[in-house]
Amino acid sequence: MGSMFVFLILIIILSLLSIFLNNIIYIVLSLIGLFFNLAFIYMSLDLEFLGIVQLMVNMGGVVVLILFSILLTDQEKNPKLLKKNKKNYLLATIATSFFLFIIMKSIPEHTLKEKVEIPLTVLTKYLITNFLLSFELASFVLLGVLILAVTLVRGVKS
Amino acid sequence: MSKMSFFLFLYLPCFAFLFYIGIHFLVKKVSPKNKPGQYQDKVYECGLVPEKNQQKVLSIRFFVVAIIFLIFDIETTLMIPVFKEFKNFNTQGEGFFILIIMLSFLFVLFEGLLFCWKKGDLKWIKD
Amino acid sequence: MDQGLIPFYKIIADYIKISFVPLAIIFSTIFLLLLFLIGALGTYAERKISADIQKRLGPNRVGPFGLFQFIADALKMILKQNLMPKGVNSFLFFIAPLFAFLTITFSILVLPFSDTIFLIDFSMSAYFLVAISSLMGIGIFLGGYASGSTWGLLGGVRGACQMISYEVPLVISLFSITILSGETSLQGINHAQSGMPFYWFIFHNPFSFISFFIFFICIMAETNRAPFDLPESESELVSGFHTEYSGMKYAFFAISEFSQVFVVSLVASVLFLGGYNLPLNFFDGVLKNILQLITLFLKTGTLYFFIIVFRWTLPRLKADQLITLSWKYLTPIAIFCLVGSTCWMVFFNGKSLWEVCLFF
Repeated sequence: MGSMFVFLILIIILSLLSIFLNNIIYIVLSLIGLFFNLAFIYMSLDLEFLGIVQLMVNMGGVVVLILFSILLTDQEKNPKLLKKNKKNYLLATIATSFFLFIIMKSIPEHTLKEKVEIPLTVLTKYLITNFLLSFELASFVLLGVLILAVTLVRGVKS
Repeated sequence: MSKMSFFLFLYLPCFAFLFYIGIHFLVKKVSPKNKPGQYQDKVYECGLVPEKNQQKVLSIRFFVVAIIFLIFDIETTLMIPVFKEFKNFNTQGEGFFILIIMLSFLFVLFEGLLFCWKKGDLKWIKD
Repeated sequence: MDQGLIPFYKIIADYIKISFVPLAIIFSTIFLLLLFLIGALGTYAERKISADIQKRLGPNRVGPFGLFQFIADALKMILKQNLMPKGVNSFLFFIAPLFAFLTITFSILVLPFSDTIFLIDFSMSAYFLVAISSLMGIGIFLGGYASGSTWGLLGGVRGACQMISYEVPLVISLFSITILSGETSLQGINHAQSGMPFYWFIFHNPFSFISFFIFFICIMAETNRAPFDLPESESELVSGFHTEYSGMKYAFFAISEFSQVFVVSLVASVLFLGGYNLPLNFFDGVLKNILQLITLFLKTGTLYFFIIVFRWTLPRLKADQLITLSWKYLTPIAIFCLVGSTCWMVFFNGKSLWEVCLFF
């Protein structure tokens, strides 16, 4: 736990940076660093698959999507895009503390004390036997999201 | 993850960053100073003087490709653990079962690709 | 075998009487600088091979056979002015080549060069390399965005779009290897093959044979090599996303691109062509490792040679042809090969074509 302290502090710093910076490309850069640190923490806990998921989906897909949408919404033409309201800070603090409270209450006590090892074989066995329906439904959810997103974008005149 | 891997994962990017900055400092000392020229701080445009600033152009087609890629990325990431354990299951005789599972998973997403194809989202030149 | 170079470090550390952590630092730094050097040598190789194809001589003055041309090029790059257009975000302009350099930094960490010469043995290293190659796409986009010119931005956007389009067939053809070997780490995939050519994964199935060519096309597209070099198209956009970069920043972009081609052809030879396995098992110890290294470099060099030849023989694809090729041709064919490989594994119980024919 001591050797990962640096990464936890880096994650907190990067996430605060991604909220408080003004230039949107700097925000995206801190997001990239954040995702990479998250993936690294998963990998150092021997959960390599989760780290690879973070890297491939978040850093490979979400960041590229955000970068493309930055170009779609030009900041010079719409200067109100990154304006921050003072009221939102109070709401954000309340919501964050509420979430943290719920998360801390729902984690069972023993998992915080010892290291849990879940090899990928066990995960796959459960995915195929117990949670097979959820696995197949996930493909349908993805299909629905794809059709919805593409239909919405098609109506936009560039 | 062993301590050596952890340490190298930490160390090598830091070294790359320092190497990059260090080489830039060295080069700054050796390279000639920027002499003021007429077009030196303007952007290159094949001999003409650029009139406008950088236009933030993006056709919608790039955005559609990014969306389709994100969906396929999540799909392939979900399939990784199943394919990794396929050989083990095959030697135990349950390979056919996994084949059916993966066929249905892939077929649903391939259908999504066909939908985008037929609706013309992958077509870049509109006739 | 899982420990890589650690026993080697311990031998040297006992000899010189220091702890082996500084040795790990020194060796990983040497690996990174060697990859940088290989990237620089790649520019020389490219010029010589292109000269051969075009029936001219190429560099032959600086050193024997023009071998030190890359040193002359490096010195020239150092002595150039570092220009930056006015009104451009200097932090972004500075940071963009660093992404390309970070890609090869993370790639060198997981590459296996022989039984014991590797830095980290990380399960899922094949997918890690694919995920890291997206960093290069982000670097290209940032380079184009921070250039301050519309043409640079256009090159950057096309580059990022090309990168993400060709990642899907790449991962799907990687799946067909994962099925055959049951492992996702590069070392594991290597050990699942043997030295003799008929045990390589490329000859395991007719379907994995097709997968190899899909993988090869995708890696050429991922590293912006012609015929896929629309982002840096030399005759269209002057230089695409790196028009405004001069001196050392351009050197980092160019060397990172050549090193990435080397890394990716090494990965292709590990995945499909049997990696560093020797055909005969007579050797042992240090001699075995050196021979494995030579075998791997021979295979990588062959693929690298073909990638360079393809650049100078094939015409460039247009933007719509790029997207059509990836989504309408490569992805369906890759999915078909994946399903075919899986069916083969189920019906023949994991035997390769060679073993099935032997049985008959």
